[in-house]
Amino acid sequence: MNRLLIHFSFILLLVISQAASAQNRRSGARDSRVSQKDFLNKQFWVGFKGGINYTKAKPTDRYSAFSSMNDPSGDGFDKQYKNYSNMAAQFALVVNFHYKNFALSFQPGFRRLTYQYSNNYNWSDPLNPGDFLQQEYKAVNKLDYLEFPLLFKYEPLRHTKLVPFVQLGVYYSRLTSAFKETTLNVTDGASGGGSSYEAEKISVGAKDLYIKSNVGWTAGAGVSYPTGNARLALEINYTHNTNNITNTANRYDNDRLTGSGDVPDNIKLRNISVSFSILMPLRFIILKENYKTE
Amino acid sequence: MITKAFHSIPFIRVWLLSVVLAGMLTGCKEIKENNKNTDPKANFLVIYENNDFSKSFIPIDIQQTSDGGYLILAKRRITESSFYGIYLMKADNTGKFISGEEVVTDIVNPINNLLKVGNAFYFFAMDRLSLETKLMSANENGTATEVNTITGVIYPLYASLDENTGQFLLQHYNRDDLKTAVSRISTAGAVTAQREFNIGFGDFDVEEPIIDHLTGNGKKLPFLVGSAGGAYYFNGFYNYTLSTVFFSFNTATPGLLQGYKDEKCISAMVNLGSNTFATAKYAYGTNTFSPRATINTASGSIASNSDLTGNVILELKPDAHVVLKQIVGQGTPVMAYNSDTKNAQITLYFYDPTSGNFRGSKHFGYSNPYEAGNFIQTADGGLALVGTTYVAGRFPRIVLIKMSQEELNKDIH
Repeated sequence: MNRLLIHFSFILLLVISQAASAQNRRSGARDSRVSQKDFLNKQFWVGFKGGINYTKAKPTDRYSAFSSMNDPSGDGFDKQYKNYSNMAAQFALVVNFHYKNFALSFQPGFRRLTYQYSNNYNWSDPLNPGDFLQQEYKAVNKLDYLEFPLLFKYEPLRHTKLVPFVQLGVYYSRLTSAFKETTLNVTDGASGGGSSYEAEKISVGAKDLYIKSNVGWTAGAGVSYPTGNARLALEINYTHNTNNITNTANRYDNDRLTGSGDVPDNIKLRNISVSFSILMPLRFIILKENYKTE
Repeated sequence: MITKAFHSIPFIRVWLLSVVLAGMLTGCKEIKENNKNTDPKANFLVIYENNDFSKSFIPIDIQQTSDGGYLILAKRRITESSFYGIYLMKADNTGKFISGEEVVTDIVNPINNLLKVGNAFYFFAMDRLSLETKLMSANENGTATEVNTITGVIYPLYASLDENTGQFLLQHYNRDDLKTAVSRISTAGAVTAQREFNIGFGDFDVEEPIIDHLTGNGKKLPFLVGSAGGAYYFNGFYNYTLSTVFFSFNTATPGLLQGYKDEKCISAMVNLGSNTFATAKYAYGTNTFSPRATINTASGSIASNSDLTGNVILELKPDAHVVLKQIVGQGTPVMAYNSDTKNAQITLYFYDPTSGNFRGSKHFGYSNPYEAGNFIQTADGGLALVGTTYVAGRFPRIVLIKMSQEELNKDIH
């Protein structure tokens, strides 16, 4: 799957670069024979996009530093993931090459992915019910990526005021930093306590727990709206990571986390993002005096 | 400037293609490598958790079974005696808990070590009422069986394999005659040789520290017994001090490496051939490792362990428990010292047995306290360490740490 994605992205990249080259040749001539309509049909748009996203971590193989002496199945130590619960942000530079109703889009940018899970541990004394201890570890994981998505975009109704579009593509992301914030809440019946309190909060760098590469595919839809020489767009995208991002060689290397029973599962990430973008035609930026909209 | 950039699009195209292609190839290689590194047997850390508030488990030793799994001998708190009960646990080759046996509470006080003879495992314990020594065996599935009660041998303190005969060496305390005794015992539980050594009379009371050591209510004393070449040694109470005694099972006068009470003692030692030993000692709280020390073991010799110089390891707990073994790391012999730090970590120190030079160290544990138990070199060339961790800061539980050969070699320079 990952190999297919890489082949696909390579082909997309070739196409977009050939398109860039073709437009460059034409721009060199500044050919007056090109009609305004053709001009608008085939051109580069550049701009920025930014927005918010929510992440789900899908465990493919589960790991725990604990092995139960009471329940050898060990299911009791599975992390409980809270999906799409933590908001994070992303922003990117957008370079689109449009040809009629189609476009190829390269969107290098930065994306933070945040996911959360919790572990619950309970101890009790069958002979003394008052002797019990409950601990809940809540871990929020923040991963920062430089991402390089290549998208194929289709606009079925190009001449309406609101232009809907769908897009599909692949991406390669590179991890730049990762953090983990763990909060421990305790109910300590044995010490006379009956209510939960926050006992500890630790924040650690967790970059070594993940590999640098994150690849996958992305699909989405949105609408764009022309305003002046710019085009505003609102889009929603689903991003599907296809490789295990946990560094399997370093799973047990973070003593601070492992000591409290927290070792990472093998996971793949799912992400839903909403972005707002503003794009301008590249020729307008370069040659404002020659540019006119319809 | 923008126009210039625009005209250089072919250059940008080539640059972009190169960068993205290089990134994709690097990423592909990394993902492939990451998928390869999933051997769950190579590296792991497992804490054996029990949700019973009143349970506590303190591991003593570990052995690897023929299926690649692990057998762990541990102490457990029982209500019937102030001595520890026995817990024998089997884990698979990934560290997953397979079974655990709480041995009947009539038998208590399991002592170091879990001894491997062929594919069978043995350990010594004590009858709860008569205090007589029991030889126990364990199969690869972690089931314990009593082999024999060794009549007249009470208060077992430490056991090891006799390299000279393939039998067991057992140090025990003869309370009636106030003597330290060493017995050689067959795998059937028969005493084949025995020698006793006077502890001394008067105000020098060893019974209380010995019982405190066995019940875990006081100082952990560094009892040892072993073979050095054709001779034997023990580290125990002799002539009013906790000293190191070199002896044979005949009547020859022993050689002595004198300590002072139980405050200045050898805490671990391994014979490197002839009169050369790797040792650890403590003196009034300060721990010193001597990876290559010469000790006069001759009959009738008397020396003091104060004369052993070495490396003062300030990070260790006062009078630290030390397990010392020779392993192979980076393809060379290495002396591995396993001990406890003041900040409650398990530590390994590595030394060259030929030069005595320091070759690296490794620490385990951070958030919950960790205490060293024992360790072995595994069949794959890595290490398996067993220790105690206090889950939630209060529940003593067994922790098993497996280091791959690759990880081990990273820490040995």
